[in-house]
Amino acid sequence: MTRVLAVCGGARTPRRRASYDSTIHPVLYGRDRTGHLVLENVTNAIVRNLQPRSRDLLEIAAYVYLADTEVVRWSERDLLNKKWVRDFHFVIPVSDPAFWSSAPVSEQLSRTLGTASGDTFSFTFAKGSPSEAEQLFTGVDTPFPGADTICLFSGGADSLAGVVYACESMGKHPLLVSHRSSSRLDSRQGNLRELLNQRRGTKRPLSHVSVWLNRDGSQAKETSQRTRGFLFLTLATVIARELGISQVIVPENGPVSINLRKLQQSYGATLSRTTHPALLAEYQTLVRALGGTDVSFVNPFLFSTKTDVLGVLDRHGVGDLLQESVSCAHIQGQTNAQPHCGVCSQCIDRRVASIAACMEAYDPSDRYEHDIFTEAVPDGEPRQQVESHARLIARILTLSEEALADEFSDLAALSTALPGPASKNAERLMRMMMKYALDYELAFERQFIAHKRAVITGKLPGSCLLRLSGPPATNSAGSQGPPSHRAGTTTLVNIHHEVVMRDKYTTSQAGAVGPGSHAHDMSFAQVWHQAGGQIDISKLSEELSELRSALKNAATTEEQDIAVGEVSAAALAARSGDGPTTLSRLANAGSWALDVAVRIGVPVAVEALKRALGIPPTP
Amino acid sequence: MRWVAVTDALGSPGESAGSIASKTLNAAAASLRNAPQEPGCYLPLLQLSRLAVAARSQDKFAEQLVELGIAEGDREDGLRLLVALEQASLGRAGRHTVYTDIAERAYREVLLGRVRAQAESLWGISPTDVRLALAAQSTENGYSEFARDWFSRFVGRTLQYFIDRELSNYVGQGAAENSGDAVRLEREVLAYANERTRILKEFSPGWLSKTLWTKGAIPEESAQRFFAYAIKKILDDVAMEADAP
Repeated sequence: MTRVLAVCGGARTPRRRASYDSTIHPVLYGRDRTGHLVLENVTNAIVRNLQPRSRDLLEIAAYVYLADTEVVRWSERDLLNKKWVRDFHFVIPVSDPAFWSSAPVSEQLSRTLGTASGDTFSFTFAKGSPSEAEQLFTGVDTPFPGADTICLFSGGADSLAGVVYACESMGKHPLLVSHRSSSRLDSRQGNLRELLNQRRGTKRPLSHVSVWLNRDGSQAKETSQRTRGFLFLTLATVIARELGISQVIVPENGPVSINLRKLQQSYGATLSRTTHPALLAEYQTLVRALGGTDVSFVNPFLFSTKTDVLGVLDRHGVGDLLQESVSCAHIQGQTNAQPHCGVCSQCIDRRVASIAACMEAYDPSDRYEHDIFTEAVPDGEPRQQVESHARLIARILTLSEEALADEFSDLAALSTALPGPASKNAERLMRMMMKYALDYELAFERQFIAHKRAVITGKLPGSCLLRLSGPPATNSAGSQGPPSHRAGTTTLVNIHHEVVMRDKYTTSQAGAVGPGSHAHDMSFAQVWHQAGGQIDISKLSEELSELRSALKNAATTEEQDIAVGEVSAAALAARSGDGPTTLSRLANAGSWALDVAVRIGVPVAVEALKRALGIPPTP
Repeated sequence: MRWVAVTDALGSPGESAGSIASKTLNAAAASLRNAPQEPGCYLPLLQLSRLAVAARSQDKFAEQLVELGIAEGDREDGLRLLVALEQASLGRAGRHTVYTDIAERAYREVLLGRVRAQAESLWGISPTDVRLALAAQSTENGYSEFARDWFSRFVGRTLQYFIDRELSNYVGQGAAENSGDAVRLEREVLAYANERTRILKEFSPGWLSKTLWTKGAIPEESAQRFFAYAIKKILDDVAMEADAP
């Protein structure tokens, strides 16, 4: 463990010093500043009235962030991650040292930061000077009319969908709050906000507060930046409290938010927790300890996959805005033509989701520097990212429920941190992870079909996703490996009709390998083929559009919202003549969609839904 | 050199999971032998053992929960109780390291697995399920399986941890043909660890009954010695096998 003393804002270095491995001096103001913190477009009302505690909280978050990016925690030779955890002691000037030093506040601050970063934190608070507060802001005189909620807005697909969801499904008028770490990112966020406002037509436009916080004159030495989540929440909280707003929306799809272990080497804070429910819960407790306006934090997409989240854009007629959003974690080094690296975790999830959601037209492969499905993935971290995604999916699709519950045993703690019965939360999260795997499988299926000739003729490089997730290079049944995993029948396209295989060994690229393992018996391509032209796809397309409207009007729960999205995707697939995809989307839509279809009298859609759900067709 | 043997094995098509796991265990042996110095490694086992003994009686179990600081609200729901028990163990562990995190994961998996076998569904668990499942581990047979299960998971997840640092680089060009096959390899590594820890079945019930008989409870030092002895036995066996002609 590395012990670090961080003496901030020109505070006096303590006389008695314990033994630290290093001492750093983060400074936010003046000639010696190491970081740059400015809130832009903040109303003068806020500047004039900023509560001292809000300002303190903002500066604490900024100092912690600067220290976090200053102290390196990892080296390849550190096999046991002994230096991953850092022990920070901060000396920070604040307006009210007695308040911040009180046990409930100081301990909760340490606990919240510990949850975010996995590091340990302690604090000494010194009396600071208020004179520099104004340097924080560039004010404008226009207030934020009607804003009744804050929505964190990174400019990525999830945050875009979050704004749309807040407006259209929650009936809110959100104020968008962003962290702006580069001018390129800022112009993207601004552009997206403008486009959203254009689509809103005569409705009141959305406002946007952008907060600059970056290091002055030097790049981050440590790139894991686990305290970023704390910083984002702080930016939103400070603005919310000043405006008397009591809700902050933190839009992030469930699998990313809960960030379950993909690699078996990931423990503790090697897993990022930027929007993790445990962090939101700890932060909420901290806000309560601060007093003043209570602020609650809501992630409306906690139980949704990224494919579901993109469906929100599609459902509300702004699917094309996906192309204006950027989700990549690597802002530096990407071009406007190819804003996505393609190989970071965010890019992988986005690419898969846009294919699974039938929205590839708005997120084409040439916008990605690397096409992971067909191009060689570079060695090192990119390869590990791509392969670990593929392996997580393979785990979900192959392991028995019990083995999967072991792999996802972290869900136990998470499910108790959420409101409602813990067992129901755990089951819901497990279902979401299964849906995540099915989305991936669907994307894989489509890419396989699109590139089948290259796959069959062995033209694809070994490190591309179609090969990593696919069959071995020399795929001849029974010719490879020990008996326990010898290839039997290869079923690349196998989504529905889950069958629990007992003692029968049937394996594919992700096949079952033992008693209790899962496999899938039939592909949608096969189901469609078996329908033998009994389903008129153009009629089906019409009826699905009708069904979609009926479902949209009837939907009252998040699950039903998802079903609407799946039927929308099915309608699109039917319109393009893609029968198997239509069926696979209808299978995800589930029995509620079938009930409504029966009720409104759309016979072709009913027939297709029945086949997709494995219900015998009407004789 | 020992780690080179691991990466060489990962890069060899057809290399068995057992061979990769055995090489990994040899390479990790030096650091694993130091694991007993970290309280967070043996405390989960200690807590599991104490809970199993206490669970024989409803009253003693309730006392044990109070002693561990489990809040009343957490005693009313099985899953909440399990999580609170884990957090109680975590809270005493002190410094977190990879090994202590793995020990906690093993704790969680064993506890969830045992209770799940008792309960009606995967996650729908009652507090009674928790107590009954723990009580079942306090018999001679129960404890021998229980202790082995925990060690098996501790060793297995440790092996996976090390193997995983390199595995992605070799998928498609080594011991795993693709990511699905890498999952198969992961599972076989766990099976290898389960086999390697069979010795626990023999001496763990004896240790528990002797400790309870002579000391009336399970002291922390005793759990530490037990953990150190078990790790040493496991590693010695593997080393001996590796040296065999």
